[in-house]
Amino acid sequence: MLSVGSFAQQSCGGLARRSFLRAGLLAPGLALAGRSAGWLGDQSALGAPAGPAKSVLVFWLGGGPSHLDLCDPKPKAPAEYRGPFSSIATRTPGLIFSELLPELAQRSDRFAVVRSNVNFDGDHLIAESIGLTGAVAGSAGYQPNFGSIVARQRGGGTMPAFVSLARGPIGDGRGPMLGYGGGIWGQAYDPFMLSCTERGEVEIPDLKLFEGLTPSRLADRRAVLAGLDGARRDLDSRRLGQWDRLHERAHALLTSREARQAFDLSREPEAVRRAYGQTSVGQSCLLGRRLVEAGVPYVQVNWSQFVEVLYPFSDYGWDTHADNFGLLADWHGPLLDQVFSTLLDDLEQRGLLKTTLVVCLGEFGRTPRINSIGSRDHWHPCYFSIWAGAGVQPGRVIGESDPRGEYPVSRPVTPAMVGTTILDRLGVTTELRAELGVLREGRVIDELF
Amino acid sequence: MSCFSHGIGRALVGLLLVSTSPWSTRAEGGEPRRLTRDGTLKLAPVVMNSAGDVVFAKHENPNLVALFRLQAGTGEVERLPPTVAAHQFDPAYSADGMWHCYAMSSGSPQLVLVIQKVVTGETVEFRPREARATARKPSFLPGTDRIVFGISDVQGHQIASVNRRGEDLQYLTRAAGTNCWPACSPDGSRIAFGSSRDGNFEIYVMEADGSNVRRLTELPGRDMRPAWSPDGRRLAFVSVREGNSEVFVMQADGSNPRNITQHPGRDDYPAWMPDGRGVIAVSTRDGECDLFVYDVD
Repeated sequence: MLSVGSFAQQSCGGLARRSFLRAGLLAPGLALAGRSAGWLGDQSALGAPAGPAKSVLVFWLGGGPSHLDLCDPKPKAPAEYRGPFSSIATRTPGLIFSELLPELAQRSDRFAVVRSNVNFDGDHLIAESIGLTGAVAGSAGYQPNFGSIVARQRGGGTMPAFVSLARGPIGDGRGPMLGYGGGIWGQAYDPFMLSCTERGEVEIPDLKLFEGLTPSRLADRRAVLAGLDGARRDLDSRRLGQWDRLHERAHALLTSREARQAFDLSREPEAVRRAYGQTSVGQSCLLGRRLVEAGVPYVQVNWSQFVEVLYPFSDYGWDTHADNFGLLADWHGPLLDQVFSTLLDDLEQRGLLKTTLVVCLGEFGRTPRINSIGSRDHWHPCYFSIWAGAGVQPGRVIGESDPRGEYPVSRPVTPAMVGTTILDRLGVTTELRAELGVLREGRVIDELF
Repeated sequence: MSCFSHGIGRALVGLLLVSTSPWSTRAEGGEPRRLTRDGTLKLAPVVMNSAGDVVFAKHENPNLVALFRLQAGTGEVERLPPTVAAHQFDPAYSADGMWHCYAMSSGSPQLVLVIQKVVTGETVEFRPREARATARKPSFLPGTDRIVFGISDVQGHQIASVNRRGEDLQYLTRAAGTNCWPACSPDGSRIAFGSSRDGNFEIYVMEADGSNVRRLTELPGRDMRPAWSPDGRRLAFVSVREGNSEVFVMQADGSNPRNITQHPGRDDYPAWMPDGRGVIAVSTRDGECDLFVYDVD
């Protein structure tokens, strides 16, 4: 493992004040399958257009969070729909939340809520791909992820243009979802993947490097190059082209003071790290904020790598087919409330919310009618999203679902509208989208602004 | 035959527990005493033996929740075997410490109960019927060989029991809503539990056979996770009635509820100390997620 960063003393509370970047050694060659960011020296980049947002941070709740038990409760619905949680008032007139989100309810005057998101498929891998590309797959495959469009638009720099934070490619137990990256544009526009442990240790899960570099040696350019060359010798000729590109990117990243500082969570005050909580998702949101601060235009913080919550391998995604209410009370509700509230506070206190669009959503919601085992299944006709920053008018409520939360009764918001709005805030206009051949029919969610 | 069918045996164990509780004093300044310091996400502590050792679940890494033992004498924390790659949580121990039970994720999105004889390590499983069903929050019913738990299966979300071989499933509730978090009283006569049958989560109590259900709390906001005091006269539980998650203690009839945590952080998963003078809870009061012990008296 390659560790990069600073190592400081243990805090009195036991929270390790060290944070380091690790380039993980996976199976030889496995990590070189082109999974890297299209950010360095991209000749097709169109430049950095001006928009109200400098960056976008998408907080992706993979698995399908229950809209009725979080942001769109239905206290007057029949018992077989309503669920066990009480609803609470928010600071926004006419908007109620589940009792699981008291901190977010107190901050509703800082964000807007869409209660009428719709997707077009109830399968995780398909719905996630649609949700993050804005379109169903064509014969050639999926359109590029919104972040990949930004990466192509913004082009190069020291930092990647599209970073996705997860322990690995997101998806479900069957495999990664296809819409996570460049899609029909190819792997050059895939996100740069970073993962963050509950202690704030930052790793590159997909980058195959070499043993032996220590933080003290990292500043030694020759040592870095020698190590990279050594790893290069292990590759067959077929992968050399990919490796050379990755080599350049890795070297630039690992020797960049700017990047290393962005990845180093130990630079944060203890109080800030504690506020995010000592969980992988909490520290990932903190890392996401640091990446935004460092100028990364598109950051996707994933709640989990897998959508599943109860399988032995899973990392507590939102796919609560079983024990939805117990799991939400134990894990998901309190964690989401803490982490997302802290993220909003942090961005606002640093003045970043003015130029950062924050979007929190999953690929769909969950069945309003409680299933035969007392839980909820997939429901793509209606779900929620939370929007803040970069000109979003706080306190707005867009769309409404019917009394049972089954279907929108006003203003359905499609994944294409989500993507178009995100890109528009970053200055990727209708003309630029047409030039790139993406989201041609997309419309901005005007009510947000 | 279980030795705990004898009341005398239970009383002797109770005396032993009272005399050896190590966690019942407060830290300096009257603050609750912090038992762990690693800060990672924790759930559902229980006191496992007369020495006051505490077993709890915590996130060992993002995709593994496992059971850990906090040794009262040394304060050391160690992973409990078996070290399987499946989530393990909701630990429970029989009053004599000879039996252990917990929930474990299975190959399907199922939670099964693992029932273990501590001395031999011999285990059996109770697996719910439906492929996505779950069994959680086991509690040993004193004086019997039964384990009571919350089950989410084809009958809905109910309270049920099996024997220590994981057999002979019997439903104790057949009510609307979500019925969960059962806790057996020390004398084995009653079961406290949470239910949303009347709209939102409240605390209820019933006889051990499921009869004579009485509602103990009645406020907006969820009341959940009841835990009996060792003498069976009080119940600790979690409530958001004052705006955030706090641990309360009330009399067993539901009277005189009192907030014992009183902090803006999340306080959850109460478990009584054997001497009845303290309640262990998972708390974020210091900004991290750790075990604390709160004085009750």
